[in-house]
Amino acid sequence: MFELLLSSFLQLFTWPTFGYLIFGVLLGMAIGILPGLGGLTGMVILLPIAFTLDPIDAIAMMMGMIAVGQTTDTIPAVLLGVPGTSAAAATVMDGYPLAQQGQAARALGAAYFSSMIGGIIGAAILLASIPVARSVLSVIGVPETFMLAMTGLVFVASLSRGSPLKGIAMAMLGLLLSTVGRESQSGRLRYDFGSFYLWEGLELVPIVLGLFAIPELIALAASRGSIARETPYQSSIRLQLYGMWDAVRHWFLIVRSSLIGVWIGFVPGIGGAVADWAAYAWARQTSRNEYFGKGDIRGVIAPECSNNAVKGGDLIPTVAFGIPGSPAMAVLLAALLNVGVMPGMTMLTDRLDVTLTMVVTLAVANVVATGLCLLFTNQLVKVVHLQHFYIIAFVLPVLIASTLLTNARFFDVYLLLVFGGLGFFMKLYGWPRAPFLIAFVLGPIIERNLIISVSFYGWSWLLRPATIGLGLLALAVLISGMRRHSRPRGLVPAPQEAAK
Amino acid sequence: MMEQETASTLMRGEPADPDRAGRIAFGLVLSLVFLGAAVMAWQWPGNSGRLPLLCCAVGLICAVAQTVRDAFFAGSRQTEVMDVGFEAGTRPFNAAVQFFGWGLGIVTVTYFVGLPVAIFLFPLLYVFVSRARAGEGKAGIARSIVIAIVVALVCWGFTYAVFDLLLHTPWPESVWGP
Repeated sequence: MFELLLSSFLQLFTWPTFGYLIFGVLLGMAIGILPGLGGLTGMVILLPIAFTLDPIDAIAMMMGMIAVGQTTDTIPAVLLGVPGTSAAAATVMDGYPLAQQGQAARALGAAYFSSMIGGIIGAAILLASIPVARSVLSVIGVPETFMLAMTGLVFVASLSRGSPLKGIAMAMLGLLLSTVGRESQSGRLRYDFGSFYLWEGLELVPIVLGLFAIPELIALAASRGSIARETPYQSSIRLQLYGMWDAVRHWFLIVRSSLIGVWIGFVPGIGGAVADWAAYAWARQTSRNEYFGKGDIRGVIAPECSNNAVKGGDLIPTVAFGIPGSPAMAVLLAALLNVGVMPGMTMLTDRLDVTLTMVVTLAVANVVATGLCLLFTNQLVKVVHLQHFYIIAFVLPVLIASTLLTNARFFDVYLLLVFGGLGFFMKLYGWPRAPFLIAFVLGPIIERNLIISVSFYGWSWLLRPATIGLGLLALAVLISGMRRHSRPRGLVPAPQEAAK
Repeated sequence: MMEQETASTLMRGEPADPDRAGRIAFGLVLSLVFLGAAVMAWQWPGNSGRLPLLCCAVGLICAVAQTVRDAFFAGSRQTEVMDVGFEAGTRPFNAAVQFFGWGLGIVTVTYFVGLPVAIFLFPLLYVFVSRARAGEGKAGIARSIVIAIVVALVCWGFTYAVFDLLLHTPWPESVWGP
């Protein structure tokens, strides 16, 4: 197996395979930077090209694309407070405050490095776990998936330390809005108010951009300055290296967050948008520091390595069982089938070379993307010193174009503005946006699995060992959040003091 | 009552809350949304109403409890750890009104004239007006116009290159224009 791994590695560096890899990586990087566009868009673009290629070349190109989107989505999240994809929303929480303190390059250096390590850990776990994945996946039934999703929700909601009540209320609102449109089991229309646009439910892209990007742009307009207001420009190379050193110093956080990412990716249907919040929440829960959310570098490291590690976990059910864990993986599956590769046991026997190429590509693509990002960061961070109106003049039309052109529905632009307004009030009055988003993403999974669990097992599914374990974990997290909240608060250090 | 509350918040080292009325109003609106959604979901049979009703029940309890807390107990307005508040000393309401005004403008132009025109026109006007407000005198007008045109071209070129040349996305038709 080691020889085959080595030959896959060497083959990746032959022409034209390496060329296709670089093409995929560059496309993935470009798509990651653009708000609203995700890995699925890139996969759809590449699909017709992949059909014409040799299986190894097609895999190198598609894996290269899919592996790096979560590396570059950090750039707008840190520099502008606009998440490039929904999987970078958690990075905004500490990355953007760091940029405001003039430490954008440090945040980006830490993010790139931890993304790279997360991606490599994901690839390594993919390699190690394929032989044993089948037995593990068979333990995760429908009730366990439901409880896993609920536990993730409780994790995020309980972290709203101003008041956990607000976190839970926002999670419920997100969950409620995820039920808009046609119900999957009976086809009944819910909360459609007679509008045809609401039949298919609310779109994720305008909601993410509205909740997270628009309030940040308003805050920038209100400040009447640049993003890094009072901080003079500093050479980014030294700060980038410092950021990378931050990531090395917090190696245990990287390992822990990567494992969370792989585990969440492994469960079909739950993706990067959940993994980054789960890792962020865990990092926050296990820290005694009051500085999270105000520019703590760990708040960048944890979500970044987690959302890159997701890809490794995501590939396990796709490759081993032909169960795509996300829409992007479904497109990859379609490409694999079209070039004559059948996912399943054959991937561990006859076509082990293909599997190993995926593993190697995942790791190499992350390294290549990190190198390219580091190369351009010195120029990119100058954005934070531009006057606010240049940034708004560029970003707002791009947001509207991204929203409008994703589905070519004008209604989505109205949604963008409505959720922008909601996000503004939430930010103004201290109602957390993270639980809302995470609940909205998890809503369909939660409802489907709840209905199936009740239909198949009655209420006895609540007594399954894994369900009880996950339920107890959720309860412990909730109680811990409440106790933290009731504890008297100490003085919060000023950003500069804490940075020292 | 107000003085007592202000005194209690100051004793805890917290400033008086200028947004208290807005905070309570937001909580009330949220409670009403949950209540309205629950009334609608109540009529749905079987599985269709199960999750919405659960969300409404839990959400309503939390929203009402939080509103009561905001109304009668001070000190619950700490900035969220999972979120970043507005910078102190800024006027977010004014900025939001202006921002949404511009936003509705660009949406209206997109609807009637088309996206290609809107994504050129908005940066042009926004940069020009903002620079004028920032104190550019008459001498700076020519410079502002040039800068506004450059920003508008960059924005338009970027959007066109990505969505049209690279992604071949169909651009929606407008009422009057392309």
